[in-house]
Amino acid sequence: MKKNIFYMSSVIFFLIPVLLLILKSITAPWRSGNLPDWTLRGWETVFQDSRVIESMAITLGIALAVALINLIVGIPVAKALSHRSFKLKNTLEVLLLLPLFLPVIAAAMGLHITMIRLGLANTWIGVTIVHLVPTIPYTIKVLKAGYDRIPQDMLNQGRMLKAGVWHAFRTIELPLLIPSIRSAIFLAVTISAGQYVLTAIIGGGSVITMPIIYYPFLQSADDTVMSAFSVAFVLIPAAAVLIAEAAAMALAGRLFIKRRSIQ
Amino acid sequence: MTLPYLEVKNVSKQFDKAEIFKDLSFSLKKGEILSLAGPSGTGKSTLLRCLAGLDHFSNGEVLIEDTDLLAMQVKKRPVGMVFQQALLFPHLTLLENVAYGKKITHGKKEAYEMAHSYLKEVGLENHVKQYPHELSGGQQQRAALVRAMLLKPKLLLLDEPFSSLDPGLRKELREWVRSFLKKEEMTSIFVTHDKDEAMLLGDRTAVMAEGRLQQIGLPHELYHTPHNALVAELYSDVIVLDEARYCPAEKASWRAERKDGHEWFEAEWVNETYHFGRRLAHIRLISTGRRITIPAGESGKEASGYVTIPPEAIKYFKET
Amino acid sequence: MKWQRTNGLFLLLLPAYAFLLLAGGSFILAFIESTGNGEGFTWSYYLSLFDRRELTDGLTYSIWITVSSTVVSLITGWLIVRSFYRLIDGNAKWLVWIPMLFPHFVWGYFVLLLLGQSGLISTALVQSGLLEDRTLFPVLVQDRSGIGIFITYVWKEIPFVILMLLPVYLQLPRQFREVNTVLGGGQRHWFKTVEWPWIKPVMFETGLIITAFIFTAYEVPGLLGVSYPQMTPVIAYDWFYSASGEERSMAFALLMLAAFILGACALTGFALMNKRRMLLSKSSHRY
Repeated sequence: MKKNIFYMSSVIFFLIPVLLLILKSITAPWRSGNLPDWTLRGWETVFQDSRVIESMAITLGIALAVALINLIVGIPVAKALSHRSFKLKNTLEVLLLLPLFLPVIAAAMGLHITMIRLGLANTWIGVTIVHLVPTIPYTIKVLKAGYDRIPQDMLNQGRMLKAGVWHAFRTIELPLLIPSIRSAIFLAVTISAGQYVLTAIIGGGSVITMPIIYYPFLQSADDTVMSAFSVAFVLIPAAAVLIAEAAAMALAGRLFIKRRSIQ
Repeated sequence: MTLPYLEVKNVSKQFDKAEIFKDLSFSLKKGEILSLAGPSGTGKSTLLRCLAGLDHFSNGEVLIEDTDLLAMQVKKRPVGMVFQQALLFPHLTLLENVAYGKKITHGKKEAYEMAHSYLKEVGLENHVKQYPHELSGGQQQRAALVRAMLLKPKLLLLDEPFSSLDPGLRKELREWVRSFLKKEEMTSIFVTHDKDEAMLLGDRTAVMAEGRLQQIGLPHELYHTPHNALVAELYSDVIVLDEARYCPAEKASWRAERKDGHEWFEAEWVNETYHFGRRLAHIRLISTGRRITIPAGESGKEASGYVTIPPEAIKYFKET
Repeated sequence: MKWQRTNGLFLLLLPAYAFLLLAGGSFILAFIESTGNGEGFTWSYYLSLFDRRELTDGLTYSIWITVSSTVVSLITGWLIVRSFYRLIDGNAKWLVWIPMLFPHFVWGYFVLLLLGQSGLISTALVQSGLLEDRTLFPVLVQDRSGIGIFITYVWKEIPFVILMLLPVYLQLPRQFREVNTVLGGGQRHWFKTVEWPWIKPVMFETGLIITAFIFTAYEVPGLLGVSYPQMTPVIAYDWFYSASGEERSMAFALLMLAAFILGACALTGFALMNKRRMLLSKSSHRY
């Protein structure tokens, strides 16, 4: 009984909205008394608009760059926070998480002038940099939890077996961290792809990501098109995850496919 | 006279000004197994970690075949280590785990061949393709040992390798480990806090307590002639009378009355047990509150009485 | 050797310092712009904030929306995790993840689509004859009281709360439940001695993340808000792009004021909880 209530409300509140959006995206605006008319017009409008296609590519590119930098920054920091002890460790951890509790819009505005001076305003690089502010704290959290699950002595064991720092990282830490890395990438990508205001401030209207054209679309397009556009946002994390998995496979070869099941 | 293979000279370790151990010195011959016994928290594990290179001595020198061990990086040190847990890498098969270190130093082909032959030797050849979670605790620990041995270290360190196993398995495994180490002529240091395990596994035993090596010697030397009260209490079955004197527990007896000319302690009867057909009395000494076990003989089990010690049984610690 | 080890630590932490430089630097730059842009230090922009009627109204409105949505989503999410964490961890996790896939403004658009006057529900009601005309449907979205914003945030943050609290509930030391029962403790004891101390840090953290986000995120009120009153981030955004240099500085002052208050809350909270947190995490560290 309890179980059914839970499943039903989860479906109603979490799944139905998406199904409704999908349904809406393939039907013409509903009129009284009629059954909805099926149409592909919404999706055609979205995918035939070169600005939309371009914005998707830019959004995905920025999101992947953000995720990559997140991992490069997050993995060593998470390792230090989890496996090393040093002075002011707790303070450092709090400071690194602090941006989650602060208005990121202030950070973006604060960076604006500096970005202009550095020539990074209105570029995708500038936008990527400002997207790091709300994403890196989450990545550090997720990866630290991942490192916490690897016993310190497991890594010492690797050293005793003559693995160098890099070899141990590649053959022990990285495979054991895969689930956390996957979550971190996913989080970074969804957060980055959902930024309107940070992109608007630093991108200054020159870096057109999906959120940037979503707002003007809302003024002009009807619900069918808007629904299709809304659903299209899922493509970004989906594509990012696929690309990340493919990259991991290319880097590590068969290891990843074979070993995934036991993680 | 053979030269020592491993020589540890006056090593000390401080951590945040607290002294963990000081001026430890000992040496081992090739193929010798040293049991390092003592209560937990006396720095036995730290000593091993320093020898392994995972930690650093504050002072002292360690020579292995006359070369300075401490000057070598962990990667170059001919030292292997087996931890309390088997710590097999969960994402690698048994074979890949065992071959892990050898693969780094000698390449894949040689490592896998050698791993195969060793696993066969220790009876794990049917499990090579399995992942660690599919193996039993004993199998895992055996694999961990083989994994360390594959690199043919000059010195193998074992840090309470059986502590996570159940008692039955422990007994079986320690005999196996000793014969395996002996066959490979592996110079080893084996840490344990179990007296029996120390005797069974080591050629010699070192007792470490309060940051010092209290005594190092053959099992019977430690048992029959402990150098001081600490060793006596940790390793031997004796009654410590004071700083200088002790008496083997088997010479003491339990009486309702004192006996003329005998040393005596007022005591309380706690309980009795039987061991190899002998009745043993568990006694609590009133003055110190310490509990001791002595042969009970035919004596009764009065609630209170005396532990008496014949003067001829009293011995003196060697150390001053 | 020793030198090498500390040096290794420095290398590991190097990216952390770089990030702190970026994040810290950006807030410092924002602070500088809020205090007269380096040409003579002044708090005047902070003081003049409260002379603006639009802002004082906006603040009340923002605080009301922030507090109500935070409290409702935190409590609802918590109750859901508390009752169903096993089910969620079982095979409902992907359901909870669905709203996380979408940006906030998409969820806002969906709320508009569903509950707007020409939305799905009003259309359905009109079609079924329950409602004569869609203009009779209450204004729930793009309304003056911020109901649409509230619904969007609650709907979107509940899954976030669930996902933050889920690992805590899965790691609750179950053996203490038996100890508690054996010692004759009831539900209330269990909650007071085990459950609450364990979840408190995460509840605090989650609550503060949501508060900070709702109070300062532009996306949802930018989409579902009305022209008066406006939420703080919308006012700040408009001022930032205003032609008047003073309004631009006030935008910084407004956001920095929020940053100081939220930052102070976070720091005191962590300072108070750090010790307890460490004790808890020590006992849960099982290698």
